[in-house]
Amino acid sequence: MKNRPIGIFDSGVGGLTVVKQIFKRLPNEEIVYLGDTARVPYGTKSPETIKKYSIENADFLMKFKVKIIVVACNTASSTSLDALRKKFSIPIVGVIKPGAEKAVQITRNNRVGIIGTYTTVKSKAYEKEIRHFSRDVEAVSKACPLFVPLVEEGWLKEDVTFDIVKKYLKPLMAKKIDTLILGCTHYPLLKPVISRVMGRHVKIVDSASSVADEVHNILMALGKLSEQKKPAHKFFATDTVEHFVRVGEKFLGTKIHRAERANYV
Amino acid sequence: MTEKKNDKKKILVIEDEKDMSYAVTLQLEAKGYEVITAFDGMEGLDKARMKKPDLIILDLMLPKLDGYKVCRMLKFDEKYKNIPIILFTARAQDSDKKTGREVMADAYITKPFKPAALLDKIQELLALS
Repeated sequence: MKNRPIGIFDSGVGGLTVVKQIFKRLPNEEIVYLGDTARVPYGTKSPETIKKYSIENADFLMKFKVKIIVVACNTASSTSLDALRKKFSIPIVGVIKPGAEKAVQITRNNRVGIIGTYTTVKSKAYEKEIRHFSRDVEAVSKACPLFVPLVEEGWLKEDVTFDIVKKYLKPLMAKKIDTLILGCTHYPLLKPVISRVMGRHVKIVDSASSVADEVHNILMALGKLSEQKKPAHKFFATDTVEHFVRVGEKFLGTKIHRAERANYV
Repeated sequence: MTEKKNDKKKILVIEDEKDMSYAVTLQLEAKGYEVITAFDGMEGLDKARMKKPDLIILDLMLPKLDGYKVCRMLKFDEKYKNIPIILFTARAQDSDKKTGREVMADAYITKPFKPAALLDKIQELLALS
């Protein structure tokens, strides 16, 4: 049971930033990753459709006898966690709550910024979660739709990237936030630029690393941390794997030696 | 059978993260403790007052009422101040421990924790009380 894999799914490649953090934190764990690249983006779909996709993705991961499922997608996390928990009896971890909780914990002036895609920002999922923990924290959010294409293009250090980041984040700087949540799994790749723009006094909460903390906490408390030395990870995409591997390696920061197509879609 | 049940020490687990609460409950029940759960600070405070547990495990980050407030309200109340409280704190947050001392928590467990560390701490506090 202990050595069973951790299942992770996302609508595409962004969730690989979560995998990267789990690799770092829990090197003995075997990962089965599924990117639903055939149906990306989830952001434009209805909650019912996203729930259906999420359950199908989880069903696929369950074939590998995973011991925990991480929903490494902001949209699916804000719509499908309850439905997944109802259907599956293993722990299910989403990306929103760990990030929101961490931000409430570390803000000193009670002003937290959130950046994400239009859909995530519009859903107010982070605000709701923050308000759940504290009524004193004021949350301001800003959609940054150009960040995802910049990351997928690999433009992480260009001058144009700096200028775009600065333009998007200016309103948040004016609000004098001291904590900023990266509410999209693509954004950790822009963390150096975002940090440079916001200044050192603004703490950056990277949901990916908060999720890795949460997975670590739950598995350790359950006594289910893996003890295997060289885990063999598996990567799947619901569309052709070439693009998935090419872009995915940037997110993962390491080679994806083998990826397969999942044919259930 | 009923008598045996009354001998069981009762532990209140106040933790909003359902999977974490479940994990802790499993470990405690396996050691023969009776477990009561609460998933937010208000519910936790109510259950602490009504069910009179022998020990409380309290997460810091809780909806409705945070762990510090729950701890303070119990520890500054003559009727409940003797119930030992273990605070769950997050990794490397020294300020948590400082505030924890101010609200008179009896012990801290930093997440992630090994089940054995929690069980040892519980035993130690129950032996003292």
